[in-house]
Amino acid sequence: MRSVRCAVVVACTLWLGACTTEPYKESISTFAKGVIASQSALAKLDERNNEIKRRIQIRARLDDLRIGTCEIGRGCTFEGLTPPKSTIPNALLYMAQVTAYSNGLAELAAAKDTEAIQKAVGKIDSAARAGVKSFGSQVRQSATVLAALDLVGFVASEVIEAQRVEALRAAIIRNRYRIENAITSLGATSYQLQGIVIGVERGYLQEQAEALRRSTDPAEQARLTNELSLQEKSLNELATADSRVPFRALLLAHRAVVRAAKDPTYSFTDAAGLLLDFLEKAQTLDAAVKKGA
Amino acid sequence: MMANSQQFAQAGALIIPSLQNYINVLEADYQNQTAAPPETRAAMATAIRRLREYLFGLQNAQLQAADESEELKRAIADLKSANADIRSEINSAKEFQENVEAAAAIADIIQRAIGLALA
Repeated sequence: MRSVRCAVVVACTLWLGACTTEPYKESISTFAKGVIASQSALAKLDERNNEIKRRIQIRARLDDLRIGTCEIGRGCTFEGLTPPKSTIPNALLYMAQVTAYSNGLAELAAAKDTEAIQKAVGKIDSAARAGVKSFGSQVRQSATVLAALDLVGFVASEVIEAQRVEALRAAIIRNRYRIENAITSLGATSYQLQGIVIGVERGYLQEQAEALRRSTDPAEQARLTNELSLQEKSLNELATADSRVPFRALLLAHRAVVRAAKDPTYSFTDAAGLLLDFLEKAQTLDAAVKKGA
Repeated sequence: MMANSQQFAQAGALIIPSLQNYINVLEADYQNQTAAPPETRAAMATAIRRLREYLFGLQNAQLQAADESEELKRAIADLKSANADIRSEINSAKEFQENVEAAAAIADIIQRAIGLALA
């Protein structure tokens, strides 16, 4: 039976090429994690931009600003103040679609599904074994049947794996340009938004520093010093990061994913370095963008 | 609303570079006024902050107009259909898996049939 199984393994390998999604799973999962971190960074940048809009809105309405009612479960009403709307709702939607794409790939390669297949194959095996038990004297013949069913199960599992690999490859290659266009567009939007936020926050910091210089009240000085220190740290972190960097890394990572899908001499393991680099840069940006002044 | 933000963005495209240059000149002047009285420096910082806020408004309008472009909306729809495509691949992979599970039941029947034949 072992020799037959070995022959099947060899035949399957020759027939199906790469029979397993194993090398894909980790890479696709790293890719998906990086995309989620990029999405989070873009959303936080948008939120920070909204905070500035709110600040401008409050200052403009200072004379007729009325703090309304606050009710548990219903929130508060501020007369004359509407919550600021995102400047880039469609870009956020676009980013969400890139995330859905990477999550879809990860789901396609998911280990959970493979476990389910193994369970299904296990059912074939146990069904056969139950048969052997119930036919007592026919054990020898039934064992032959069992071996045959075992092989059927094994091949079925390999076919599913191969089909999954092909589906992944096809999806990656087919959507290559759509995804790369999205990454380029989102990288540009993110960079633009970052520049806008940095410009105005720098103005706030400067004004705050002048207020501190003029202040003679020790309590106010302490408060302003504390605020200034927090704002300076936050702005410095935002300006130190370059939001184009993770999107460029995302582009390179996706190109590596495409190459692994197209080129049999280049594997997903070869792309691992680029994928990890992208993940790290996306997480760095996500951490740098959080919290405004 | 959309037409307004686009018109505003077009006007912004003309004004933004000049405003940006003007702010840069004021900034340089402010940085050089180290010996100026605190009130003067504070007034300059406030003026710069206000101009930066105007610039912020114009830049946001410009970004919003780009965000509302038909091109971006088409690209989103295109990517949505790509994701629907991947979803269908996931479903067919699961369907194949269900077939294997169904095969387990068939295997049981075959096994019993063979057993009966051998008995």
